[in-house]
Parts: sequence; structure tokens; C-alpha cells
Amino acid sequence: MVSDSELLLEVTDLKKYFPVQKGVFRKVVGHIKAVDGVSFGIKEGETLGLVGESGCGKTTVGRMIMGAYRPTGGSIWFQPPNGATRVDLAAIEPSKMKPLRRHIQMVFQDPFASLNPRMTVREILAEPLVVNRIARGRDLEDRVRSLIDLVGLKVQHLNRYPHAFSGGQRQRISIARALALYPRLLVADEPTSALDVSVQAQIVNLALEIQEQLGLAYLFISHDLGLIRHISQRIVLMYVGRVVEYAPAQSLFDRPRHPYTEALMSNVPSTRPELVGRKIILKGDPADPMNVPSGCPFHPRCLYAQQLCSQVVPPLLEVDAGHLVACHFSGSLNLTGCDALGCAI
Amino acid sequence: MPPILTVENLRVHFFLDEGVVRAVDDVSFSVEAGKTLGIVGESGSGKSVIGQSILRIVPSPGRIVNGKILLRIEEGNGSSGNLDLVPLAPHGRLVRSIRGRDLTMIFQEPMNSFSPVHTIGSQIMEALRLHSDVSAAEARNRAIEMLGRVGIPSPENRIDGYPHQLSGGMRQRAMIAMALICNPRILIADEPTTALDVTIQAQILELLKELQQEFGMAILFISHNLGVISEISDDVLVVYFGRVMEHAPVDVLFNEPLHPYTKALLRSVPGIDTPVRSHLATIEGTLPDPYADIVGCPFFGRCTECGGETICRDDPYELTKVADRHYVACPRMCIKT
Repeated sequence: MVSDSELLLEVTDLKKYFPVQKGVFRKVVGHIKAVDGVSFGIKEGETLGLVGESGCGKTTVGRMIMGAYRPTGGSIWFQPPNGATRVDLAAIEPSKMKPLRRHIQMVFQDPFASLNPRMTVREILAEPLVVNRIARGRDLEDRVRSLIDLVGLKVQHLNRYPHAFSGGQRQRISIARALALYPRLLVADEPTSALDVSVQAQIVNLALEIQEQLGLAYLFISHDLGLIRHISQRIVLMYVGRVVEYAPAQSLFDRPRHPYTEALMSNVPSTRPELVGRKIILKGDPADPMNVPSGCPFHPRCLYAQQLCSQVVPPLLEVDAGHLVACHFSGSLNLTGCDALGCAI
Repeated sequence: MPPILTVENLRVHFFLDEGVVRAVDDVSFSVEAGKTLGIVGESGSGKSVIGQSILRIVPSPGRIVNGKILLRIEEGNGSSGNLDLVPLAPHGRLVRSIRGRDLTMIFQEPMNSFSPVHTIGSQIMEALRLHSDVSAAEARNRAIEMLGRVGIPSPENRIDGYPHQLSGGMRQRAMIAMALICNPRILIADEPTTALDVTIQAQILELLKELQQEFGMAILFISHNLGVISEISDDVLVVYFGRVMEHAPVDVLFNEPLHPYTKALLRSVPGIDTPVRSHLATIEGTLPDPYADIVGCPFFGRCTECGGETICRDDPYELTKVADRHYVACPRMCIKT
């Protein structure tokens, strides 16, 4: 693993339980364990892909990093720029959080819901700069213009309202807004899921260009394994609130060490009809986060499950350099990599 | 084998205050029993309207203005004929007797396609009892059997459950059970796996293939996802701006696409040949104005291969046969071959 000093953000044993209330007195009858002990790190300037099926807690992780949810447990260590000491965003007082917020920004999935329809693009892009007292007057206008240029839109677009733009263009505006404060980390939560494939490609290209230009890090959250493989250097795969596998992208796809990873890869539909390979059809639905199975949460669907799996939660252990996996039998299983499975992602 | 459904020169227009949207513009295709035709296109391409017009459920102010939808009718005495669905009244007795029996549909979001206040069983039995003369007890047995067949565990209990009590994947299975209860000859599936996770999507695709083998129905599978289309289809129709750009067997379409739009679409998906973190091919520009009446190729202006030749803009749209079962609507391509 990388040493702590290189990490921009380090999440350790992060937890978020949502209470479930019932009845007239809103009695708490249980907890949804949306995130249950997640740890990973993001290096300066890298892309970490966070992937999983719906309900696995990937969005909740992103929101906790943004400070939108207060974690139930664990810490989020953030290294502010210019050599200040690391701070734990999970434990920080709200007043001290404000100056740090500008370093971490977010892009949302739905470009139709995440832009205020009553503000012009100029107002949308200027707002973070004004609120944080970074620029005003001429300087403000210059910065807004450079932002719109950075995301490939034109200065004429600044006077228009969001409704005048297509989904892809709106997503560009969202990205420009997120970049206004020169963040060190961008949390992108399914930024291309609402877009057509040809537009998705434009946004992915833009994200890669911007990263090269500005050197910021991405936490790229998606359910699309093909996209995650394309954009990420390292990948965290989650299943009902836990990390299943955490590895460099190539290592994960060449040699998955968890049965869930293998099955997921084999299930991605391929655009190469002649490559349609071995499909590992999993039984049943993803586990319910309100009622997580005992032991390994994946054991009821796992092809290789043994008695131990239903009893003991497997710890996340390093099996190769930088390759961590949470499976009791990762050492003895001989799982098939993406290319050998015939999956064409 | 004669096709079970033939669509000829179908045009569906939406008459809005701002103008006329040509949602489906001169589309022709046919499907054989036991085969799957994939219809792929980006949002706004008119792919869903094609499915709706076959069932005669195009929402107002849309109207079928031209074309034929021929459903093959087998008579009892071994002879057969074609019934054109277009002249029939959309709410008439004949259409209603065909819809749900010969032609059925499954939708993207099964929560919106089931009534939330009726049990799953009563909705499945309703379809069966409307179209065939069975007793309530027999209908119930058939519904339980069907729910079991689509992989719903303990169907005898689930039949009295409500749609909200099922997970997304299970609801989609129940939807499929409802669609197949009358043993239809054609199933129209409009983005049936788009709202589902990949592992559940794989289950549903596998189930549809199995059921097709068993019941022999033709499937019209509508999706924006090229991967899903490549896995389930025998033939594929690529639609853009209400028109068929290319129509080919699945392996031909994905390995040797001819139309520049098909090629561009396939290139924009990161795949096995795309180096990691490389620049993805994109389609520049946007869809034409929906109210525009375009004579030539609707992809003109975004196409990187035609180089702005006026023939592409001016030559009237035409789908030309280039090989057996392979049709392309590209003026430049067809001149060459």
C-alpha cells in the first residue's frame, strides 16, 4: 500500500447507519447499514473508481466525504494543500469545515436536477467565487469566462438558463461549477449515467483532459464496470456496505480475487457477439442492507460458499501488492480474469 | 418461413403546436417466430414509438399517418393471412382482443406498469380471463405456474402479494409472467433491463432467452444499450431521428458495420480494444431540430466520413440492400457498392 503521507484523502472504517423508524412514536426498530466499515485512500491526482450495484452504499460514501452526511463511525482524513496538518472531516466542527469545503467538490448524476433553473450560467459559475470571496468585478468575469472555456462551452452561453442546454452541455456546466474553486478532489457520482453513449464519451474525455491540465484527483462513482475500467487507476468494489475488493485497475480485471468481482465482470453485456463467454448467473437479488446476511454478505449468492462464509465476516486483506480482498478463500480459488471470461469491456 | 410481423413504411407523426415531429419516419422491418429483433438508438430516436405503434398505443397527439403493420393470422384450417393493424380503431374490440393475447409488451419500470392497489395474481389472471375461457380456479393455477416458471420463489404465496412487496428484479419477472400468460406470438420489450443492476440484468436476459426457446415467441427488444442488444438479438435495427440507418444480423452489425452512424456509436463505448484512459471517439454536434423535415441523411453534418458531400444532404432517404439481410441507408455507401 501507499504510505499515508502521499494520500490526499484517507477513509478508515467509515460507517453510516440510517435508523428505521416505525409506528406513531417513530420508534427506532432497526438500522440500515448503508456503509459498514469502508476503508480506502485517494492519492493526489489519481482517479479512484468506486463501483457497485444499487444499494451498495457507494453514493453514501461520496456524500459523507462531501460532508452531506455525518458518519456514524470511522474517519475521513483529508490533507489540505500547502502542507497543513491532516484533518478528520468526520470529527471536525462545522465552523472549521467551511474553509476546507472548497477543496472537495461534487458533480451529480442528473444534470436536469442539479442546476438552478432560475439562474443563468454566469450566475451559477460565479456563485461559488462570490460566496467564498475569491473574486469580484472584472476578475470574477475573467474567471467565469476561463471556466466556461475549460469545459468546452462558449462565452455566449453564459447569459442563458439551464433549460436551453442539452444533458451533455448541462453536465459540462456542472463540472465548470465544481471546478470554480480549484478543488483538489472531485467526487463524481454517476456523472454520465443519464447521458447517451456518444455524449458520455464526450464527458469522459473532458474529465480526463481536465485532470491532466489541473492535476486534481477524482473519486469516480459508477455502476458501469466498463466505464470504471476505462477511467480509473485503482478501483474499490463494494457490496452491501462493505468493500469486497480494492485493487489497481489492471490487477482487478486481469486477476479478480473475489467471486463477486468475477461474476460481475462476466455479467457486463458485451458488444462483441462472438466473444459472449461464460456467464456466471448469480442466484437471487443483492442483499438487503436492512437485513444483511451473517458472515460474508455475499455468501447466499456465492458459487463457492462454504460453511465458514455464513459464520465469519471475512476481513479485507492484502493478497498482492496493493490488491486487497475480503474473501476467506481468495487464496485457494482460481478465478477467471475479464479477458479470459470473454467479456469485452 | 414467412414473418410473423411485417412493418412497411411506417410513419408516426406527433402534431404539436410548434410543428410536426416525425418520430417514426418510413420504417420497415419484419420478424420471424422465435427470433429476436433488437432496436437500438439514442434517446429521442423514436425506438419506443415503433413499439407503441405496433400495439396501437401511441400517445396523443401522435398518430400513425402512413404504413402497414401486418400481423400474420393462422386460420384453423391451415390457411393463413395477414391482418393490417393500422386501419383498426385503437380502442376497438378487435385490437383489444389482439393486444395482450397475440401482442404483449414489457416496460422499463415495472412499478409503473402494475397497478399498486391490486395483487400481482389478480392482474395476471385478469389478462388470462379476458382472452380465454377459463375458470377462476384454473386461471389461478396457471398464474402460479407461470410465476414459478419465471423464477419467482414460492409463487403460491407471492400471487397474493402486491407489486411493492417485490424487488425490482422480481417485479420484472412478474411483468414477464403477465406478458406471457396468454402465450403471445410477439413480445415487445421496451428497455426491460435498464432499471436493473447488471447481475439482475443478466438473469432477466437469460430468462427471456429460455422462455423464447420454450414458447417460440418473437421478441422485439428495444434498448439504448449496445451490449444488451448484442447479447439478445438475432438481427438489429439501428434507428436515428426516426429512421432506420442500418439493419443487419447481429454479428455483421457489430463486426462489420457499414453505416457511419453505427460505427461512431460502437466506437464511443469503451471496449476491449480501447486503451485505458485514452481519448474516446465521440459524435460531434447534436441531433437535428425535431421539427425539421429532412430529405436526405439525418446524420449529415455530424458524419465524419461523408466530408459534406451534397449528395448526402439532398439524396432522398432510402434503405438499400447491400447483402443478404443487410440494409444500409447511406447514399455514399450505396453508390460505392
